[in-house]
Amino acid sequence: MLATIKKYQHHLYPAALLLASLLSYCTLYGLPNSLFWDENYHIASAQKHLDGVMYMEPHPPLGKMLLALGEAIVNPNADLDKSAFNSTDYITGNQVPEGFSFAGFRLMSVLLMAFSVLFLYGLLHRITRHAFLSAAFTTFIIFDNALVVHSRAAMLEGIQLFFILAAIYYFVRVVTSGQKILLRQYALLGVLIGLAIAVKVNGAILLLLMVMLFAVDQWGNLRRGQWLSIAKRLLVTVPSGSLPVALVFFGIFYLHIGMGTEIVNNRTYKASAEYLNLINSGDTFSFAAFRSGMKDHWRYMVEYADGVPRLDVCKPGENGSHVSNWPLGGKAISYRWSKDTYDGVVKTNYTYLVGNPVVWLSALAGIILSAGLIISRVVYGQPVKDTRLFWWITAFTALYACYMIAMLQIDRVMYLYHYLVPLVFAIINLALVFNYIYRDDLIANSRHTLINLGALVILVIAVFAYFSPLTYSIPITAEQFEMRDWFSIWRMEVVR
Amino acid sequence: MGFFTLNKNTWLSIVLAVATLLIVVRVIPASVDPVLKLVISKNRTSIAHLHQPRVIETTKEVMVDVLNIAEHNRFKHPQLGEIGYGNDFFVDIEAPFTVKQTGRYRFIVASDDGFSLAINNRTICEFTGSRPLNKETCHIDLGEGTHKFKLAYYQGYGNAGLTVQYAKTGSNKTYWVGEDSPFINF
Repeated sequence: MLATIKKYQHHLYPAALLLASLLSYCTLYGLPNSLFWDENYHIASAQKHLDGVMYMEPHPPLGKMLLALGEAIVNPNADLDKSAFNSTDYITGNQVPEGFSFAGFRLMSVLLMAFSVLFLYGLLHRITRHAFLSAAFTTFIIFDNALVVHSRAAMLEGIQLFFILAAIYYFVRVVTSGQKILLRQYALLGVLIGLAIAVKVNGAILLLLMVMLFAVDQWGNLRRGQWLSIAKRLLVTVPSGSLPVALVFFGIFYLHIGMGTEIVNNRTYKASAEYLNLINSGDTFSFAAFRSGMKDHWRYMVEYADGVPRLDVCKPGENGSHVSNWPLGGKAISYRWSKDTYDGVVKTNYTYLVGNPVVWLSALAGIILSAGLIISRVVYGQPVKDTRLFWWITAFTALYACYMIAMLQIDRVMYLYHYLVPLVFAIINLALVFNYIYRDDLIANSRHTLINLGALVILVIAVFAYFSPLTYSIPITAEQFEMRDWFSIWRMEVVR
Repeated sequence: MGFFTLNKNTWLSIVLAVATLLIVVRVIPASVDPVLKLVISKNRTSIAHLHQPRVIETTKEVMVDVLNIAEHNRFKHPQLGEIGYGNDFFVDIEAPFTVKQTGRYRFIVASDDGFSLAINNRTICEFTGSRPLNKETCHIDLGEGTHKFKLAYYQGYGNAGLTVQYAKTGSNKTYWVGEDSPFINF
């Protein structure tokens, strides 16, 4: 028995993490059996892919294509008439047929997010070479209430985080291989970044990975100031990395435009006459259709973004929040609630976007610590005890900071779930900061350090469980809800 | 020995212990001395008047220590938090109390919206319509012995709150109803 465990011990952690992740993300993911938040938009769009209906949307199409793929695989609504979804961009509850199941449309978001824990474990393990530490911090995304509740829906972030973590894993794998970086590795990283951008354009933050990869690739030349060699390498690496990004992004749009062969209810989205003619003539996979369709889709995305209102904190029921509130979890969003009486007691099922405060505050503490470390090195010239780890910490802190700075430039209203991407960067950073601080103890397998780490994981799981009624729509009373309203910055609203 | 020295591991243990303690304190439900029983009834229809016919949807009982339920313009107790139903609910309170010194007493009732206060089944003051939080002072002569405190309150729409204090005439000190004093025990 022990021999068997020893033989497969390298697989035990990822296997256990995957099992925990599948349980956390997939359990009864078809519930609540109602639309919530952006599902009203995304399911309408995904159904159009299934029926070959042309549509335009503010986000690129890959996420909706995958939602549609889930519905096609599970096909739980085969006997239902979903045609109403094709004549609108926003489904109301009345348009959802009786007996409708969400198990299909939510499948890919749930599954991809659940499997993405393997990438997180893998990348942490490649950097730290410490299985227990990697597993411990991987639990942070398995047991974060905000990540779980948002990914258990037909929405885009769960799918995008899969590609984001895949891209980071691949980047880490290439950098830690210790071998010369090849052009095809730039290309493959470009493909993964392209997939993340093809779900939501905020995935473009990963283009920084390409810059970092080049810096690692040319570190020697950069230090020696051999600018000619650097320029020569740039000439080949820029197209190697950026062309796949563009090919994937526009390739997905090519498929999307090609699959939109029908216009329903005269919904043309102000498409050009040329594009409409090509749709009507069934020529949607032609280059001409792609050229004019791409131009029209792009225009639609820009116009839509311009039309989104700004944040108005004075507006009653405003769900948006300022970027500065996000690291502390503000503002939590009530996605859906329904009230009923159970044994004479009024209870409410909430589906609420609220983070696990242990995860979010620890991640923020990690960012503060790493900022201190970087400032002490760069400004005060303090020595670093582990140069390699220092650069990894700098890389993930930079990703976090750049994303947040980019968000600060956006005028339109933004929501707490836009923080899920930098939260993942911050969780990775936290694991690395922990490794930096306790490096010697971890190498020595210090019992005290491992117990501390274990206690932190137990705390994360316990707090996740405490907030789980808001994640899994478990009925609670108003008093029980208020006990979970920990911070005023969350601005949670009880239903009475 | 090294386990207990104040190194970085110990500091992390302290941080984790403090975080755990704070969480435990936060998740333990607040409790107060169960002195007064509030019967809180959610009405199916809007309430505009204390004596309008009641159409009760659901009822709950909450025990409180004192009648100080007006935090942040809500029907909110300082320790127990919000204990009403938001809008459109009635609250009924009946409690015996023992007067230790015969004399004239005043009850100061602040309510948003209406209330009616009766001692020994005799209404001594009331405001039966809607209003922002406002005070009424009600006087009554009480002899030594046991008496009955009875208060009805309603919250219609918007802000809410109820506080009831008492004092013996001639004494400047006021006490919450529910709080024992040299003059009255609950």
